[in-house]
Amino acid sequence: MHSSFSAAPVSSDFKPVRNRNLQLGFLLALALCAACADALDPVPFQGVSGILTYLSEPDSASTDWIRVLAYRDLPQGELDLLAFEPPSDTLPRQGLSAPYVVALEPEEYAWLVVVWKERGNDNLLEALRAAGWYTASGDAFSAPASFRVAADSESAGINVIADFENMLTIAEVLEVLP
Amino acid sequence: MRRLALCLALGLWAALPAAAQQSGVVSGRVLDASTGTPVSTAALRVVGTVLLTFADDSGRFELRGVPAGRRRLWVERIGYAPRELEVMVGAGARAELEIALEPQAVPLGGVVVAATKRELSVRDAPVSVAVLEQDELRLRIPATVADAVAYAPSVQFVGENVNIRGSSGYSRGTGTRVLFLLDGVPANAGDSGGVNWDIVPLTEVSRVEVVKGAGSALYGSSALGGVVNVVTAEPPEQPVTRVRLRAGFYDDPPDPEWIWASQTLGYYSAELSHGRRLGPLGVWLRGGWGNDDGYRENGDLERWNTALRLRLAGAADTLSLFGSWAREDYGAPIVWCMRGQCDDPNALAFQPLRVPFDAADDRTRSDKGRVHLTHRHRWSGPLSSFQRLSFQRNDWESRFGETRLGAVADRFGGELRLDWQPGSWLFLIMGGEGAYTQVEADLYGSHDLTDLALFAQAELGLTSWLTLTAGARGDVRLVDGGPLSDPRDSELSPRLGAVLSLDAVTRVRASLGRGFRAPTVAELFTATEVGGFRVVPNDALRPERCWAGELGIQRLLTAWLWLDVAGFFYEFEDLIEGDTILSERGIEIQFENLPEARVRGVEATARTSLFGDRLRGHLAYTFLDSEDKSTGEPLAYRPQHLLTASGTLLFRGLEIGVDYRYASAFDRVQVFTDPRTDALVPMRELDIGLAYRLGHQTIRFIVDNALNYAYTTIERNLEPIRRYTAALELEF
Repeated sequence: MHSSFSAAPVSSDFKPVRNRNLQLGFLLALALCAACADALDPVPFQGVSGILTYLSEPDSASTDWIRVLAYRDLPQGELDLLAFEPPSDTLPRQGLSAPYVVALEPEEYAWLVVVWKERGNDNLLEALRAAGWYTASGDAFSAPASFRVAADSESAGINVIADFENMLTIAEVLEVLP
Repeated sequence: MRRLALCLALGLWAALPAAAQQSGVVSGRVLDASTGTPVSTAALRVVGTVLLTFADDSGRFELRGVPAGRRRLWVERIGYAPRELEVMVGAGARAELEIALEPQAVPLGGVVVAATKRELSVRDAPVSVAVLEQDELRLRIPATVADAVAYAPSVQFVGENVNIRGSSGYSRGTGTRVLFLLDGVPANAGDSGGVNWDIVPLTEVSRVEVVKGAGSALYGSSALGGVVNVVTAEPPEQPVTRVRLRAGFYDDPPDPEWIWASQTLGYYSAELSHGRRLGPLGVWLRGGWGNDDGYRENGDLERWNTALRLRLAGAADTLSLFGSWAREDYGAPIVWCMRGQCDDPNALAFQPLRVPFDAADDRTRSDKGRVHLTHRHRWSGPLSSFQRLSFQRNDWESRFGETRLGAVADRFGGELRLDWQPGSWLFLIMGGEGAYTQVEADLYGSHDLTDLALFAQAELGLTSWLTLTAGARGDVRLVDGGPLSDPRDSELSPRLGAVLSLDAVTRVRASLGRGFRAPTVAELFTATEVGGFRVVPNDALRPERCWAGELGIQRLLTAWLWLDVAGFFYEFEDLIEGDTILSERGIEIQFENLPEARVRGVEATARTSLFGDRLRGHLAYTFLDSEDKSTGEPLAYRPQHLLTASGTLLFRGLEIGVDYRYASAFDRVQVFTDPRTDALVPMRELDIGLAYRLGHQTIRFIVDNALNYAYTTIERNLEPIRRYTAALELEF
């Protein structure tokens, strides 16, 4: 059985409506979305940099890492030693010199120290050694010299001597520091 | 209970012959009212039933089993004004119609399969769906389909992670909460669960469906946040060869202090495809190759891919085979260079386009191969079956300094499904799915996963104004053959949905369902140390679960403005997120369960067609509110505001398109949080395109990131800078 029927539109069939004001308003709303701000910009480095000179190469097999740490105040006890600023990246275990940088807030710093960590020992009080610090006389362990980091600038030339054959334990560091 | 079910089944069965006698057939053609040419893929639905069909290439359609009497037929298609017609259907008779559609209405959203595993008009889906049609994909001259998916409303790419409605954060592509389907077949990587967009045959994509909200009731694990289904084109009836040549170059960085390369950096690619019929067999075959210098140091990429599709269609059976292989070889810097890590004559705190010395040679090679075979059989009466088998291999190797990492993951999958329409008011889908994944990797170890699932879904056309969908899926996962009885790795995910037709141009939808995702092998077992990041395994990780729901309304406000507004939520339990700890050994990352977390929001989308359809556009805004309930903090890598806007001006063969995407700065990230060097900025990207069509040949130009706006979505990784691309698309 086959028959044909005509299809009549029902009353809800949609009738186009035109309204130019509304159309232009909608376009304006789209255009407002294209405003632009807040992009990432170049940021000048703010911190300290220099050259680490190794008096001898560290023992690569027992070295977990070497980093440079900065302190606002000279530590007076073991707990103070944990109050360091974000450290430098790990530094080379081989060679006789390496550049370093430490990003720091603009302030006066009392102590900048090269820290060596023993591999396989997670007790930091035992595993950490001081290999040298920034001094006015250019050696590894004489009186620490302070330095200032200015806003939006790099305090360059803070060079440090690291002596991996005569490193100091935490207890020895606390004895030596004023 | 069993007696009741038996009575219902018998009653249903007994009703079938009677229903057949009291029904008729509605058939005919859909035509363009202005040109009289056939309109293909127009959706035709008998109001108040689950009867639905789509016009074929010649505009013809046929609806069987239409209840006798005076019936209303709803007809719609993208680019045409929808129509509602009244039809008198005689018992056992055929009503032949010729339906003319006016071609000047706002785009309505097209066809979607992934929402319910059944072809539906987007307007009839009980969940929010965004569909990107072929023209929209090509307009943006994408390198992979991901470049086009990024423009869908409520979608944001955070690094490699595709993020729908803020459901995912960032995890370097691992454990994505978006299920990636290729022609409806799962295609997430077996080891990480990530999405490999380069396996998609870009020139042969018909459309991309983005289904929002938890889809676990149909798809199980991975579909917790949503589903992206890439539908490839059917092989053509007549021989067709397509060539797409694409080339472009990067502009200078927005700031001269960031310039790192002495020469202009560019990219180019070539794709060739050919499709034809070989007797009863339809076939297309394609291949592509591309090279990209990259816009940042060690950011180069070389890409090869090939794909094949065969289709054999008979009166009752359709057999389809898809195979693809893709290789990428690329530089893989993890983060940009901080002061002291690379040569920087400008002594900046960071150089966003340079990489640290020790990452200058880091590279990754990845190979992806997949094949799937699908078979659909239409049984006598309103029953059809669908079967598929699939295999996917992901094989990759990375070199980070002296460390080499790699993995091979093989995933075998299968599905058996029955689609049954016992009456004009009921459409049933039921089936089972299984997958076996084997992973061999130096950073995960050797592991296997077994996934088993059963699912069922009923669509009920209860009245002329209400359609209900109810379904559930039971999933079981075994890790390394782990016990079936372990309740941690099994889940029942129900979902209820409803679509109310308030009038001819207004639909209200609501859904509430359960989401489930079992942790991937990478989340459970990764143990590695790369580039200062140490990933720690957590084999006690539990699957994450959620309740997810939405309430939405869509309405054609005028002939030129269509509006959709939805409120949605995810209430997560045991949400898996990477937890980051800065230790003296570097940055430690471990995937952990957050006991309770929430994402909720509102999404509004407007589509328009103005000035006699010469100007088309859309504007979509999403507000997101996320919270880790144990800390009260926002979830990491989720923006609060997302906005996409696009406009295309059409004049004769010329198209001018503008796209704008905005995402507010994240409230929280997980690794680098120094406000001086890791400022959180919004994403603002403006793209301007131009195309000219002459018959089937098209030439396109696009400027991506025209504002040359510098931003990141993951820390210390600058998103692409301004680039100029031209493409030539030839078809003969």
